[in-house]
Amino acid sequence: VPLLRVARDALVPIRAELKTLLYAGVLVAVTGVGKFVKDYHDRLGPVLIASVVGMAALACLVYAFRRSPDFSWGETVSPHLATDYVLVLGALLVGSDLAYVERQFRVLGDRWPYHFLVVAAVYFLLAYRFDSRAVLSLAVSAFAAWRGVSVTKAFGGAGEAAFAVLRANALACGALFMAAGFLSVRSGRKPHFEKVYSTAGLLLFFGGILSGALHGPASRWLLWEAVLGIVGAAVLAMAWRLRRPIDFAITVAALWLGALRLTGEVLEREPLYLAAAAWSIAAIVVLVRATRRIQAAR
Amino acid sequence: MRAAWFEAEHAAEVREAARDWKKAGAIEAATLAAIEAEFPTTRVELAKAWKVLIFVLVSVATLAVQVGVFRFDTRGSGNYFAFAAILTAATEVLRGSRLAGSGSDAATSFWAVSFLTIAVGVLFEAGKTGGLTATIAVTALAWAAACWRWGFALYGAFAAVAGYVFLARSPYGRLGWAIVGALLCALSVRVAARPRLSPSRRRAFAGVFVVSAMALYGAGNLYSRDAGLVETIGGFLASWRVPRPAALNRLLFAVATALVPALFVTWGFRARRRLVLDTGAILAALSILTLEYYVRFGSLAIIAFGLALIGLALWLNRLLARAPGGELRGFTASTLLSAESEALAPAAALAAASAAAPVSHPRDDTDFSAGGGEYGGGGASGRF
Repeated sequence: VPLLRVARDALVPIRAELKTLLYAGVLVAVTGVGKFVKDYHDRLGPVLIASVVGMAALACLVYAFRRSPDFSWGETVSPHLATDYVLVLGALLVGSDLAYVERQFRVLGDRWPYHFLVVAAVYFLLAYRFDSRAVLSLAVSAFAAWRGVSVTKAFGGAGEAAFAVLRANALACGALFMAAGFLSVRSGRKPHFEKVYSTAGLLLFFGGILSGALHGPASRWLLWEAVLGIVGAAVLAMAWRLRRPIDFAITVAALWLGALRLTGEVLEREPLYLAAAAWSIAAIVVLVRATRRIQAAR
Repeated sequence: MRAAWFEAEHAAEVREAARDWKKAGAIEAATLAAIEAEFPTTRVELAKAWKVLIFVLVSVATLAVQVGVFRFDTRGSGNYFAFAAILTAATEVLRGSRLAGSGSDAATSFWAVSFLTIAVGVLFEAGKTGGLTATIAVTALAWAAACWRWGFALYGAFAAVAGYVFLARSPYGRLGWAIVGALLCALSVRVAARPRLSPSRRRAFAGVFVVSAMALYGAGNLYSRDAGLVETIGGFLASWRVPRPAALNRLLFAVATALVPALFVTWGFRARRRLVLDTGAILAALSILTLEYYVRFGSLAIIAFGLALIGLALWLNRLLARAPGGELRGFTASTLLSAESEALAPAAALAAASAAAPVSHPRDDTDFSAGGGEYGGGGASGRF
């Protein structure tokens, strides 16, 4: 009955609007906190500001804790509309507060990039406790940021040497996230987090390989192309076997970009453009055929 | 639009709505299977990420062929007309194939209209004032025709945007935006609710409604008046200086800035139309940004505003949750009814109800039930 009433416009569900309102509220509040820290820094002093932001974060986390179900290694569903949004607000405030404290008090000194690792650890804890994929995405990003900022700082900025180490870190992070996804499923502990891990892992892994294939030194780019071909073929086969269309699409996109670079080395001008068109059409054919077969197999 | 495309669109909409209901727990797997069997797809069904990827790939292929074969040449429009014609033919073929809706047809149609615009621009010498106005007019018509023929809803919004840019180029652009905006708002909101139209056309009119509401609001917004936004879009500022309005005049614009969003929100609540309500909310956000421009909120005010938004959402949720049956004045915050595509098309629900009915629950109920897999005949035909 309710579905038909909704269809006849006699009943209007506005849960999406309420969620948007909550999301907007979180964004506006976090923006206000950032401005507050800047505006009141001299007047109130860092201790008071850090305390106020910390208290606000704590209030959000307590609110989320009181309205969330008990911890479980399985998937839990919060019965309350606002829990996830207030949790994200609390997590963002924790991140802001830790960054502010580090900047003002230099707790970690020269090792300040480690504060990203601390933030990532807090986010991982929150994500697992509250079963939040949104906070897990923040945790994964903070972890990757820790590696990126650490490398850039160690080399005193971007450069060829820093780029090579950044690439190695991206590959390592990608492999680590994919392993985390694999372990999540294998151990049956938060198996639904696997998608967040494996998508982030694949993007970082192929990003690292492609950076070598597209921007690597003249002597090595071909080697990275070979790596891309081997890894791409392996992931395609696995995505095909496991019926995972998103992983399949990411891999096809990476192989397509690699093929464009390869073609660019061999051809020029018009033949190159036509070859690019041919590669694109080939990629579409592969994608569409794979989808049909994956759907048929399901 | 061909009848087969029309049917395919309806089937796709019913299947998508049914999957959302399943996801929200409103129906069970058996019901979903029954609906999908009643409305089989003739197209390749892809995830949104794949459609975006295919759109990008086809766009790269299209532009590569243009550069490789036709070459960019601003001296004559023939090449562009020819390429637009080829892309139009390709779109016709793709829309009738299993690849319809895969992103490939969206890319070829998008570039067909884009290259037609370039061709007309080169032909009319768009660098000159008259040529540019004519090019904008043709662009509006081309997007509208593409929307009507191929059923890409976004093109309706593109056509409306081009139409308002065309209006802005007249000396009475602001007045034109206000009058045409109000008229199109009233018209498109009615048409967008007609079940007889195809889903894409209904969505196209919804897009026209949103763009028209923005035009109406833009015509009366205080900042838009002070900065001469409509006149700038029309390209008149260089030769025709917009005088700063008198105090009373500005007061009227300030009142309109506050009043127009309130009117839309009230209209949305009274008519129980999410489209109008959501548009009103967007306009309200724009009014708050306008107020911030003139008043400059402090950080505490911004935090308070953010918390107020969170509080408002929680209060409304509690109000609806505690109301009898979880609904108040025709509104509900029920999780069960809140699947991702909440813009449930009436036709989709009626069709799904009729599809589900005879399969496992043949009793002569008059309504479709969401009670965990119990369903009855909605009395509606699958052919609407």
